[in-house]
Amino acid sequence: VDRNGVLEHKIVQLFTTRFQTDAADLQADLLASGAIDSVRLVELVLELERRFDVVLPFDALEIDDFRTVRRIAELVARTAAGSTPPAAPGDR
Amino acid sequence: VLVAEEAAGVRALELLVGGPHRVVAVLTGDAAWPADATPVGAAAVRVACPVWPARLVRDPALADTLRRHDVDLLLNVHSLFIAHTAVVAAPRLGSFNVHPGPLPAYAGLNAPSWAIYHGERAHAVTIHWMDAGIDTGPIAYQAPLTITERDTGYTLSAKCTTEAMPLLQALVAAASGGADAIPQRPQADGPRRHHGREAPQGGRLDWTAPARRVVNYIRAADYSPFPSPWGHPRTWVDGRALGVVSGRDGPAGRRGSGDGRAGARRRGPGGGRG
Repeated sequence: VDRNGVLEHKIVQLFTTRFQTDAADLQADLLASGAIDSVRLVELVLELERRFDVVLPFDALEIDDFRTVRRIAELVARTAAGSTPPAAPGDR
Repeated sequence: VLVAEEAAGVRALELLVGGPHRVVAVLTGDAAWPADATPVGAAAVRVACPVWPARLVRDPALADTLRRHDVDLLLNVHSLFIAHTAVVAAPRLGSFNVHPGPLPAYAGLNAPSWAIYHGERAHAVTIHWMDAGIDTGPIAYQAPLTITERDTGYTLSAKCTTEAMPLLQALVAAASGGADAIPQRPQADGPRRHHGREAPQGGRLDWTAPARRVVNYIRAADYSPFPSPWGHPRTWVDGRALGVVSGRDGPAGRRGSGDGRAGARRRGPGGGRG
């Protein structure tokens, strides 16, 4: 299982344990189904940061990054690899 | 009955239908009709709750309907329709509003954003008895919240909703014991701020203000990745208006602000980040 596959598995588990939501379909639209709404997004981001030791600044996030488990895993992987988030304003 | 909008309203509905209580109707939406055109309406349809247009709360005739259905509680969660006093008085036990701010300090709209704008470090979410005024009734429940440096208008609003749900649960549990079992504490005598829809400073950044204040305004208006109710605070560069989406302050002595340095990222007319 590749790194993103492991991440996807952990994110599915997160949805189950933290949000009591079945997110086993990695391509299912979590925004359209209501599994992620504006309130849960904050809880999810804080939980992703805690579990995966990444920082996800809200002002650098795009809502589409949270549309599916697969995209969330890609976001976490990208961030962990240092390609996102973008530099803070004062550093530009 | 539940009068509700937004994700907070969906959460409240889920909480209510998950308990032993019966939801007589959900009042939501208005311009956006049919019933399932709003998130709360769609959630209500999923659990087979009747959906009525939220504007009915302005109509005193709704009071008779509520009495006819033996409604115990009216719960207002992020609906902006101002209920008629006859409607407020109709439920057997009372009408309650979930307000995302401490009262009386932050009444009205966008309380989380105003608190950040004013540089507050502490905030609260409140459930209060509704009366003839707006956000003026006695407090039933309140939960404190800490505002962190990282909080934006959006994150603080969401945290208020999360913290409001246990309060709502406490309210409906207490209501089983009758109206006397629901706490009722007069609002403090402190200063009362009431804000409407308007953004501060006419929606413009003031670069002569202290850096901290500039940054506080930017993050207060920041609802990324969702649209901001205030819009992004504007600034002008070479005669072109730009919306500033994020900023932070730094050590004093650099250009850009009254007592320090305020760096900013901006959003151009096309919405792209700069």
